[in-house]
Amino acid sequence: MAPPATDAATTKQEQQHAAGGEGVEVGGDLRLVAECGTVVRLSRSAARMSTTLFDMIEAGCAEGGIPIKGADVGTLRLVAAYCEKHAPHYDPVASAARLRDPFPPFPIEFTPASYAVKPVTQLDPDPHGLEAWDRKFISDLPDNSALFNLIIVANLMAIEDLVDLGCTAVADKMRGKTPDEIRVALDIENDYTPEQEAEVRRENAWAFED
Amino acid sequence: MPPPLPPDPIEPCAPAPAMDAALPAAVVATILSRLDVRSLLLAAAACRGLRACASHALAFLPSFHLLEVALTHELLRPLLPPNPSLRSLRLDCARLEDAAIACLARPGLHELLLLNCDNISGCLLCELGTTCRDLRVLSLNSLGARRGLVVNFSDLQELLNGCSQLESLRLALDFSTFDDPNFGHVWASASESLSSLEIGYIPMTMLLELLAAVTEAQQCMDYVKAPVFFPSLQKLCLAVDFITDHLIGSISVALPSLTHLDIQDAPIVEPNSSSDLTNAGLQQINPHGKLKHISLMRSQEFLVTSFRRVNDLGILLMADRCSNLESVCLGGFSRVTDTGFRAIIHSCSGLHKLRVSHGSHLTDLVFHDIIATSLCLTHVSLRWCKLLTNVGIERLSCNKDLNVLDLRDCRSLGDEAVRALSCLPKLQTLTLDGTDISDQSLKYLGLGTCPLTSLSLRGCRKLTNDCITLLFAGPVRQSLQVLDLSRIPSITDDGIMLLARSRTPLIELRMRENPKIGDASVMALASMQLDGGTYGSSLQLLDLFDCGGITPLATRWFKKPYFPRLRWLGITGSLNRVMVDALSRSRPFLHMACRGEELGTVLWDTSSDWYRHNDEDLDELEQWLLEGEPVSDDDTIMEE
Repeated sequence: MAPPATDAATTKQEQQHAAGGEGVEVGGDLRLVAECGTVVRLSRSAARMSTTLFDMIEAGCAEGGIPIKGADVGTLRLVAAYCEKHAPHYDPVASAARLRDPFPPFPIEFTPASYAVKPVTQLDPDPHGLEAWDRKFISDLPDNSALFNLIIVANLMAIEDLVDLGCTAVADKMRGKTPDEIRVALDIENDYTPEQEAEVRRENAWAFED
Repeated sequence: MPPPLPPDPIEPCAPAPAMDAALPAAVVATILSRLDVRSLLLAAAACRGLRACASHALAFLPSFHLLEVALTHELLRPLLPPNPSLRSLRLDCARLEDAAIACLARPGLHELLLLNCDNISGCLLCELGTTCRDLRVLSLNSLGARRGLVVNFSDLQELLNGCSQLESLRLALDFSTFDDPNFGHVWASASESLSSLEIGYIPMTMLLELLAAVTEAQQCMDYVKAPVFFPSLQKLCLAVDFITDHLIGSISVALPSLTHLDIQDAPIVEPNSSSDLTNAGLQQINPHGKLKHISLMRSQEFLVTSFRRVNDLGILLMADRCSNLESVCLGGFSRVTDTGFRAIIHSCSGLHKLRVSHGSHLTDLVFHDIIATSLCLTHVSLRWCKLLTNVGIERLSCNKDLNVLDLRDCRSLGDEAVRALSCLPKLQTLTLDGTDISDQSLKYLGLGTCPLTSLSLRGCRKLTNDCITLLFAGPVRQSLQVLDLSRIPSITDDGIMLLARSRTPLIELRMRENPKIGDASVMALASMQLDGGTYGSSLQLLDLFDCGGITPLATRWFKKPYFPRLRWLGITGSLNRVMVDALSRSRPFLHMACRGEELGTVLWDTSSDWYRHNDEDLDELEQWLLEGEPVSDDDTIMEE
């Protein structure tokens, strides 16, 4: 089940990070080896974002090439770019807290067009420009399979923030869309029989706009 | 020259892997858990794999928010399986009764917000106190309002004793149902981290008893045994029957660390000199200078009255000690003149929100040198300020950060004011009900740079169909979502057809009480298509109450597949009872208002007053009475 694993990994990450950040020797860049054999370099500070890599650094077996099974070069480069960008501002404790509690209570607006009107008094919530960079990062991905591969590799390397980013991006593609639109957007085949589909729609008739 | 290469052989390239094949089920469930409930159900209908993942996701969804539809218990139960990760639940409980309490009171919940709890009794509070021990935020509306349901003091006691982590409590109900000799003392056992308390209505006697208990505890020398009341309380928001000096004084003594004070009253008889707010009372506000938001409003719901015993002196003295204020709401201070309002603007350098209602002596002078201050106003509401003219608004528009502007019933405002406003780069909500504008104003708005999302022109009688063309000539077309064209006699079906043709993605449209709007408008709106080709109008709210030309035929245009997203519909019920009933049966989740009620979620929430119409619309007689208000000097108590 997705959430318990996330929680366990993150807590461990927090512990590790608290324990021995300074003692690690400042070595060279890590070398990640893609499925096809190409090497992608990743600096140690960026590698902290991946729990798997962090554990390997701590255990001292991060020298030489680290094979990342099932990852192609393109995806690995994207993951590396993400980690490099986010590494200077990475705070594992804040990140874990955010992922554990993704929906803190926020001000309630009750008009139907509630998402439309938002006051503009807040200070800039994105001081390092990371959110804007993330948005561009996702929108620059060529197609859905690139996004799926990104999530798979990030999941493999236990980079929680990137998994979160990817999942939210896919969710955004589904949000507010009818089943047909979702099928088109994510290339899904409709394997319902007409009777089954009618039943599914009838169960929660209020949700379907027909 | 080499010949062009032959086309690639017709070999089907491997299709892009479908989502459900590419990603493991656990990841798909995580993705689905980031969706709102409705999108989740729509995704479940896409394929069988997604349906399985969706039902899995429902078991670890962190938040469940469904406010736009009131589901029955049968429909809700499968959507809320046992879920230890559920932290936030927001529902419309209009169709739920006590049987659903088990579904609502879940262990592990941090935030619970329930609307329309009329059919649920006080047992809900009791159950919350027993089960939801980690609750941080609770907000309930109109509990047990239906006849026969009981809400007891013991229920409140259970709630306060049980929910020891509560930070924000909002009970929009009449607290006289909790009347009990121990009412004051029960709050000592409430959560210590309670920082925000909002009460729907509380009789003054009960409130004074509570404050007396608090003050007594503060003065008690026996520190070991003294009960502690409200150690962290910062926000207090309530409505009483009368605001008096004694009340303000008691609040200031009992709760010295308040940062947010919001009191409203609605007198049913004219307050006499010993039970009213005077200059002396205002002086007692904010003894330690911590206040950031103050709201004092006298509602004219029952009687046309105001704070007659407060004048400029009181406001001046208050402004002196309240220089940290960021938000000021003064409603019904009809004796305060420009001097008083200017004092606020010039003393409170951090002011962001200003709201004045029934400011009968407020003139342009208030904003005369606002440009010399460093004020950064974002929300301004000046209602029933009939002496305010275009010049004042021009001065006000120096505040380039203005986001929400409400100028309802400022009769003397005209086109030049709107011209000044049309260049504000952040203006999103503009309410011009009852002002003296003409089509020219809409031309300014159409050509201007405001990213308007909500525009209300209710009762602007000079407007004609041209205003629609002018408004949608510019970028407002893309941003506007909420539009109110009620009570404008010259708007006809042609105007609405122009609106439909403009393809603005409107979400709310109100056209109440327009004699010339008829079935043709409904047809035009029903067939309105959005850019991007999605079939069907984007409207979620449509108000056609008392429109002269609507006939029973119009109800046919509300059946599916027209208006697929419609959630609120206002129509004259007496039109044709049979057809209206048939419509409400065929669309069970459409809120229909047949007796002229305002549409949109009806909620007692002062912050949403910025965006909604109050039910304080005066009728002609009351307006005349207000204008002819006698200014009698013997009434005013002078400061000694």
